[in-house]
Amino acid sequence: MMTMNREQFLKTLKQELRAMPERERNEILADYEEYFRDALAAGRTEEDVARSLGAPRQLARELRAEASIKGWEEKRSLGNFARLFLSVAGLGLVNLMLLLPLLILVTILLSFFVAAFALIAAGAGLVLASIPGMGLAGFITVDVAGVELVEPLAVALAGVGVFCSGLVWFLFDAWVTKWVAVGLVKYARLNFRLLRGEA
Amino acid sequence: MKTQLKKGVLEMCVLAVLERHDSYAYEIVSTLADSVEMSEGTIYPLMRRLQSDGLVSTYLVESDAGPPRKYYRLEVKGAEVLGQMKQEWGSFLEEVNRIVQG
Repeated sequence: MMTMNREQFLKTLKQELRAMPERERNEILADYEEYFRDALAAGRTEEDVARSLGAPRQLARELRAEASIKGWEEKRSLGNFARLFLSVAGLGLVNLMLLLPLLILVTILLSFFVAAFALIAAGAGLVLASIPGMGLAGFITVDVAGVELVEPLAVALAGVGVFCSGLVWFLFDAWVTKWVAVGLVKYARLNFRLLRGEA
Repeated sequence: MKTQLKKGVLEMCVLAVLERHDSYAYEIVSTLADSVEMSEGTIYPLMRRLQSDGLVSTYLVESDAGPPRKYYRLEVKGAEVLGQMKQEWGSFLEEVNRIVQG
């Protein structure tokens, strides 16, 4: 590993953390600056401290993964799941054997979400179409085993059915996604632990 | 094997150091470095995790020279987790000793 001085170490770390919110990034940089101050006061050289701190790039990966875990735990949104997934993949620990099945799984989950939203939208559309005077009745027709539904009540019920099935899909998908995330967090932290001391 | 073992208990060691008294990152590492071969840089990802899990909290102490220093304090939840870890560690040691020493 290239020998760095204090400034190079902090500069590289800052560069690697550029995607992080500024407040959090500054806090982390202040932490490492403090560490340098204490170590230099104890009589060590900048190069020695930088070497024992380890590669800034690897540290940044762990800090980013830790931040995305925190973000996911605070708010379970799809965006935070994506960040969690990317940061764990970015640890460089997920090898191809694991990455491929993981990518397939995430793709399936994503298509389930799209399907669920489509069902919810279609259900809502049918219910709207069943309301007389909406002017939609002529545009949407529902076939059940070749018999066209014309009764507004039948169309509305079919709509509710489709809507609910979409909702069930959505809840099921959200539930699976949550467990995938739990697995990702466990896997990431297991590897943090193994990585420690292996600088 | 020695190193692998120590890495597994690093978290417990950090919490144990904080149980004695509040401390800052460099002091924690210096205390542990003598017996646990740890990569010094990983103290911060570890401390941030302990903090977001609510096991430790931080506060700043003004210093005469330079910016304030960040101190870590063991929280109630942290003390509970540490107690549990110590217990598990103790029974693990007992079992291993029973096997090794016959």
